[in-house]
Amino acid sequence: MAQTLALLLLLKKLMWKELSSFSSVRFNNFLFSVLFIMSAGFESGAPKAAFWSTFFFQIVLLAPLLVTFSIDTQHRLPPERVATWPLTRTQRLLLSSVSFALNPLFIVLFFGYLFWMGLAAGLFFVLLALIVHGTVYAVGRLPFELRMPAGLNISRTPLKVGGIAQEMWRELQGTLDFWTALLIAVSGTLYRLFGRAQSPKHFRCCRYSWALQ
Amino acid sequence: MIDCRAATKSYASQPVLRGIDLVVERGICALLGANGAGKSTLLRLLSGLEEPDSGSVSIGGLGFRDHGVEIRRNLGVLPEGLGLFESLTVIENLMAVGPIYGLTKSETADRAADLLGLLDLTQGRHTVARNCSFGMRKKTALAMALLHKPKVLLLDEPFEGIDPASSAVIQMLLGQLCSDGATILLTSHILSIVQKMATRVVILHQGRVESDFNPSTADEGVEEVYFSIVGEPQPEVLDWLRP
Repeated sequence: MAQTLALLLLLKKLMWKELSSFSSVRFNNFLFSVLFIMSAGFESGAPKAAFWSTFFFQIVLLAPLLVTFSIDTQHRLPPERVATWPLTRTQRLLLSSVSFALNPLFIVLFFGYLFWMGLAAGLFFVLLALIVHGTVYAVGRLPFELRMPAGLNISRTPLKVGGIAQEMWRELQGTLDFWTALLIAVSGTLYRLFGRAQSPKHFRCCRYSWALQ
Repeated sequence: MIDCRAATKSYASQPVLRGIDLVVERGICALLGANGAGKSTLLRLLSGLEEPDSGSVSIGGLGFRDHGVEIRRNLGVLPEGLGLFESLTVIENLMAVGPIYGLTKSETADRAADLLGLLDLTQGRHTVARNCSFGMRKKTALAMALLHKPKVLLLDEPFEGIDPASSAVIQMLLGQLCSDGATILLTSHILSIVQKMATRVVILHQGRVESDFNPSTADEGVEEVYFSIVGEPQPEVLDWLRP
């Protein structure tokens, strides 16, 4: 019990340190996109209805955003240090989950959903966060390493700027924004090609997302 | 006691450790080898940070899978990446670790003050870790490894980047722990220190144990044995570097 209390006190201290130095506020495109959609729903005067009409995009943007929050948790708690501590599995999971939930941006988003879009949206956010964090936690403990398929690697490019292009491609592969933008673009294209009752209103959200990406 | 049997480890199909058999009893065992020989990987396996692809690792007769908590309670590790809480100060890093190992707040404070004094960190104790010099960071991480007085210490390059005075203090501290019955396994590239303090030297070469000897009873010095295994340095001035 004293050990668990020590862990919680440590997390509290880390959170306050981060808050005081603004290092926890790592804005990224996903966060901007989510805030943009939230504010658009708020401006429409019917935020709850707006939430459900943009449900798909909320998931597509929130999931990678929550992945970045979850990865931030690992940065906050150096894995090499925590792995050497005499903690049970339950304590490790608690440490990771509490650290995740203490992310100031996570708290802001939760209350944003709760007050602007209602209890259901708030609970949806927490549920999605639990699923994402659980997945990231589990993937981090896989006995093997997940790798990019070899076919996607550019080992050599014919251009003179091959080295730069190769470096940019490698960076792009590791950027969640790229994959999310690709998913949205593919989804939008499929909808455009095969959707039966297309409405220009449905593209507004896509347009915002593409612009932000 | 550290016991490693036929341990292998590969990264991206590249074998790093090729069947390591190593039993370390109490004393100071130095693990030597060129860059990429597998020293840090072996320490990562022994500290439970990674599992071997095959073979087994046990500490004090216990395996990490079933007795991880018991092993880690008596294990002190100086990891390659140091594992500091970057937003905390030196003293806060130490104060955070003590209670995790069951020390009370006052015990932690007393031991931290002692270690900071010995390692010449008292003045910089309120410096945030990310603003510390490399030497200060390493000494902080080392103090974190020593704080709970572990029975087994695994130290990855504890002397590299450390000033001579602190290096002497660390040697004294490790010697003291060793005489209290601790088992210490460390890696180093500073052969003179190894020659002076190690009770056993193990040289890794291309993922295998190539030599295992006691430097105080060996005919040759650590440096001679080391270069006979990894090859003599070939100092050759490059043409384009000539004046």
